[in-house]
Amino acid sequence: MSPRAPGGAADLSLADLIQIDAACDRFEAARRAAAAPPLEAILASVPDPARVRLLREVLIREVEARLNWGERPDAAGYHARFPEHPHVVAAVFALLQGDASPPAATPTR
Amino acid sequence: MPDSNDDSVARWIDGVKAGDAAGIERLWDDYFQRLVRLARAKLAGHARRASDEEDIALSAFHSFCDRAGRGQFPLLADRDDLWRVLFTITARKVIAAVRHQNRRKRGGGRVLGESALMAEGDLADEGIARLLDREPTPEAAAAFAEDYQRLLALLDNPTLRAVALRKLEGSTIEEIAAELGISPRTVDRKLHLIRALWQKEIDG
Repeated sequence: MSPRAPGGAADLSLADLIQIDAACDRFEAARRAAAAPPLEAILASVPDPARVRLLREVLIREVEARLNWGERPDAAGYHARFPEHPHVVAAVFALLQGDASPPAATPTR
Repeated sequence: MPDSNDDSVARWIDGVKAGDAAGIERLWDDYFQRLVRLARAKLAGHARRASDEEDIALSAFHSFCDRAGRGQFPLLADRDDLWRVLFTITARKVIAAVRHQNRRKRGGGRVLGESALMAEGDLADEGIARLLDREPTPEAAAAFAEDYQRLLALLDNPTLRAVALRKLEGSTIEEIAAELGISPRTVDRKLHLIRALWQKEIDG
């Protein structure tokens, strides 16, 4: 996957949006049941065009939940997990923490 | 809706059409405050006088009674039809009020436009606004009712349908989230999907 603009949904088809919504519903239900799968597993459930948007959606929820629990989630850890999407990770942390620092130019896995 | 008996509702709707005072009073009792809440929700975020939502609701109420009395809503049969027409008239009044405010405030302050009726980030309202961007003539009211049913029928997921209905009734994202027990972000995502579904249908 190549890096794409974070959160951009204009190029997504209706089918993509439906898949993203369904995947988010599954993720949120699993979270409520304290059985949330790793984000990577959720992402694998949708094809590539929808994956960037889905990552943004589920990453927001995970980071938000961790912040609410008093944790201090580390963007670097997510950059390492999702090196194909540095802008998505950066955008989510900027959104939730006010940290607008740019992602690493060459993220490493 | 306050009255679950469609037959009795149909009777007092007939009373409104005939200009009967009791029917109009019943309409006022059951719907005026809903119209005020709808106008208030649609005006949210705009500079306004405290009385604006009541003025708009009052204007919509009188407009409906006047038109009904002149036989302009012959197909009005039950409370669903009634609410759709009242909703359409009120929404149009809000749009007109905002446009009027724009003209008066031209050159100063926040520029208000029809698009500003949308809550920030609430993309679904674009599609809804397109639905509402029609004069509430009898033909338009009937078309709106058809569109309303057709578009709601596209939403086979109960959560999507619940979100759409509440949004059409003027609830905010936060209110919908609280009522449905889901997060505001989830509501926002659902609205985005609803907009996409409806946009595709509207664009054909």
